[in-house]
Amino acid sequence: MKTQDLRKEFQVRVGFLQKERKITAVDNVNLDIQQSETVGLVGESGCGKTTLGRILAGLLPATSGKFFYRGNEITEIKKKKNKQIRREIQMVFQDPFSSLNPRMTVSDILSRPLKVFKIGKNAKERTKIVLETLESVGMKTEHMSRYPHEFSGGQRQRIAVARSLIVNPAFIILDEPTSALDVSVQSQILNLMVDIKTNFQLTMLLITHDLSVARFQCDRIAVMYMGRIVVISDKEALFNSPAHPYTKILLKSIPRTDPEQRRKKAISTGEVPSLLNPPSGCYFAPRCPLKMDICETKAPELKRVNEHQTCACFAVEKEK
Amino acid sequence: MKYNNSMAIYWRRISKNKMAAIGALIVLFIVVIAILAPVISPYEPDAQDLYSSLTGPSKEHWFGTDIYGRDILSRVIWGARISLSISSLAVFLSILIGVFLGAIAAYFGGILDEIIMRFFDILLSFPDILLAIAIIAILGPGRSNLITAITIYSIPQFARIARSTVVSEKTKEYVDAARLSGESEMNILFRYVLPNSLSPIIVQGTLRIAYAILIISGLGFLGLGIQPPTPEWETDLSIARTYLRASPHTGIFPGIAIFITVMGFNFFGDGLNEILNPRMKDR
Amino acid sequence: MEHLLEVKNLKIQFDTEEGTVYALENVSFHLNKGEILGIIGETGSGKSVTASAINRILPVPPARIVNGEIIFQGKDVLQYKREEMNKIRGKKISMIFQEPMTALNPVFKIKEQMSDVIMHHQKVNRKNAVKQATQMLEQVRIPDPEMVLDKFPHELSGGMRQRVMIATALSCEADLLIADEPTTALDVTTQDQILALIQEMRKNIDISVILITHDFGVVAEICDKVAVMYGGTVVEFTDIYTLTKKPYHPYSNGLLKAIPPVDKTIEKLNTIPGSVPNLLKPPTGCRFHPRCENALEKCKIDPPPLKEIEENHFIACYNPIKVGENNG
Repeated sequence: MKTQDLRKEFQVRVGFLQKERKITAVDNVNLDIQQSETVGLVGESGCGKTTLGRILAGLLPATSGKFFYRGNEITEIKKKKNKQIRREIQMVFQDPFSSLNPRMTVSDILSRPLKVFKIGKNAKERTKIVLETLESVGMKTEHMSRYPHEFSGGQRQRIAVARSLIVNPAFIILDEPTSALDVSVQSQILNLMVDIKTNFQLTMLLITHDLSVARFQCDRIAVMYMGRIVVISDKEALFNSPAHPYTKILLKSIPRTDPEQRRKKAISTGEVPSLLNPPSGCYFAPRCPLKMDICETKAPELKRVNEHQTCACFAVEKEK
Repeated sequence: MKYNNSMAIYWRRISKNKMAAIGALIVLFIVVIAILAPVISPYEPDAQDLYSSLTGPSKEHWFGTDIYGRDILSRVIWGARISLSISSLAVFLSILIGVFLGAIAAYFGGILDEIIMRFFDILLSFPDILLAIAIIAILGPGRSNLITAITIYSIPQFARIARSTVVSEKTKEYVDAARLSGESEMNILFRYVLPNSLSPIIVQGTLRIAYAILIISGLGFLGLGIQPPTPEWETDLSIARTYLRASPHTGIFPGIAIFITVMGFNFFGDGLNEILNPRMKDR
Repeated sequence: MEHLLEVKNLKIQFDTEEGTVYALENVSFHLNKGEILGIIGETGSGKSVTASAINRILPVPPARIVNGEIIFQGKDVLQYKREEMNKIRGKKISMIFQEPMTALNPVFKIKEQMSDVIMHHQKVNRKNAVKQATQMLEQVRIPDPEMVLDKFPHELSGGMRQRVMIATALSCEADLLIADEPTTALDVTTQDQILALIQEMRKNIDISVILITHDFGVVAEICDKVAVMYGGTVVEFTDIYTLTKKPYHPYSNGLLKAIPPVDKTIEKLNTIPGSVPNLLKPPTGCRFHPRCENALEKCKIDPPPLKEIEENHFIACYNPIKVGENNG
């Protein structure tokens, strides 16, 4: 999948008088995802990663820009002739509680997509596929006739993963799939995703705020900040030699599980500015230790730093 | 699509909630009477017996007789049938139409939403009984026109409820998931979203039946309701007005019938509300 | 030396329409003055119930305190009458939550809310209360306190709100601060700042802190001691360095191993099979036994008591991990 200057704006109402203001949730994003790789989309709140994910899933129209799937431009996945594409691009959502219809059994939830995409010649065949898919995500036959509220968060996510798998997709977008889960369950689901990626030969886009999850799952990682992509990097390069100052700070801020590695004081200053009032120039400039004059006037573009990383930062450019 | 172990929770709630239980019993009672009317009614409701006119409660006539000598008990029993069938049918129709329109207004939004909801706002600005009177005045009295009138003024309320629940459900992620599964938008609305929005509609439906019976009563009083000689609580009440001082029983029994039925449906509706909301607790 | 807070064998149940929830089975731990204790646990571990119990803000009913003592500064808080508890709550024991928006009133400015609290606990007038509030906001490193005081809660960012909450909680010079998932809703960079702030506060004003979280990194970052909770019981209680080096309880061990590391790439994560127990029908005996590799027959019958197996290292387990089996 490839995006070209993808942009998404929202109109929001602010303040007591409900004035309408515009925010740019996704700002001229250019990202490509190769077949069979897992790309991580990482960032803090308001960075636009969920919005971008939904646009790529065809759930949200972009304001401007294009994106391509297998070389063809996608304008409207919903249209009838795009049914094949609709089947190939699937998504797993963050909240295991609201992403499953409370009034449908597991069997209904999983067999509906088969019916809609006309997979399986009759009910018997469809049931067989449902059972196989349930098994591949670690669930059992007797779960078929139960309702979502009877399951734990981890089990519901497994059902959600099964739903995305059952139509035999090529590309799955995962939006914070483990953020709402306990740590012990998270590890199960993360392992599961590694397995299904191999077994089903999938391409994946993993959206997460947790860099340790990204490190475990992804081949390449794109870091977003306030709607812009600031870094695209191979995994090892990102963690071992981060170029962009925001990435450096982000990595250092993550609390380690070893108390010997405690920090004496806070790494970062300030917070992510509101999208209603973005700074001029580089969005990270107000908090950046390497800020230069140009950073406050112009927005840096993604430029290649070395064979593993591209980065949008004037300071990094200058050093090169 | 039934809930299994949740039935246990519902039962616990029903038994703990006396209001719902009493209401349910009353509603059940009235419905059974209405259905069995031909069987249990001691006399034909139209059978006149002028010699026994205006006799008080006695062994032959438990509720006494009216001005035409007709057995009041039989008329009350048959009246249940009429009242219930009219109000249920009217409410049922208004649910069908109102929920459909409210749901598509909410789901598709935009101009459709504006047009439909503004139209309903206009309807809602009239007091129900005035609207009903106006419609009866245009169409004339009679059973089917009565149903029409009640249906029309009830539609906006259901449209509103449907609209608000659909608006909140449509942003939930399972709706997006359904899109990913290739479902068409209409399918998503009617198969996924609406079934999750039913409980407030059911509650409102039961309350509306009670309310319809009261409206019929009001209209009956004005002579715009069911026309005699059809046995009908409200019309009987209206006729009984003239004879109330001398023969209060002609008015008391139909009146009590109305009272108990309306109360029963109200209790049942309120109780249903408590049972169905809060909905299934998620972990 | 007397502990500032000592919780002994706390057992709490909830009566709900679905049945009895066996929320806390046996919770014991202690906190010394000036320490930061981390209570870590997953869903259903009972960590939030414990926090609310200490401050007596559990709704009773449906909660029922079956057993136990909460000894704060020498007296059992559970025995206090309502007026006595009101004097302590907010004054000696202060609390901050995960989502400050629910604690702050959206229609009043910060200035009013903070000074209300100060005036409630101290005999000062509004003007002096606002002055104190300004000082407190400076202490929590808010660059422009006057501006913040003049705003409404929704006009502030998440991190700012949490700082305001901390400032308010500290404004009455409490001896104990209970922080229930204070950074869970914050970005990681903001979280880092808030955690550093809590540490600074501890150093400056010698306050003791109970920090409740599901994130082990947070505990490792600032806590001195840690109590690991599972299914309503404290399963391991010791200082943080010991726990990371020698997690004797199979659950603590599994939990630590299940966290994906940020500093190295690994192929597969270690997992704990199964999921957290249903507190309506918890497992018999030790609540972790269905998921435990080390489970013995005894574990299914009798819940193991919390015992001190090394100096200042308590665990509730009949068959703990041997030292050699741990990751060093």
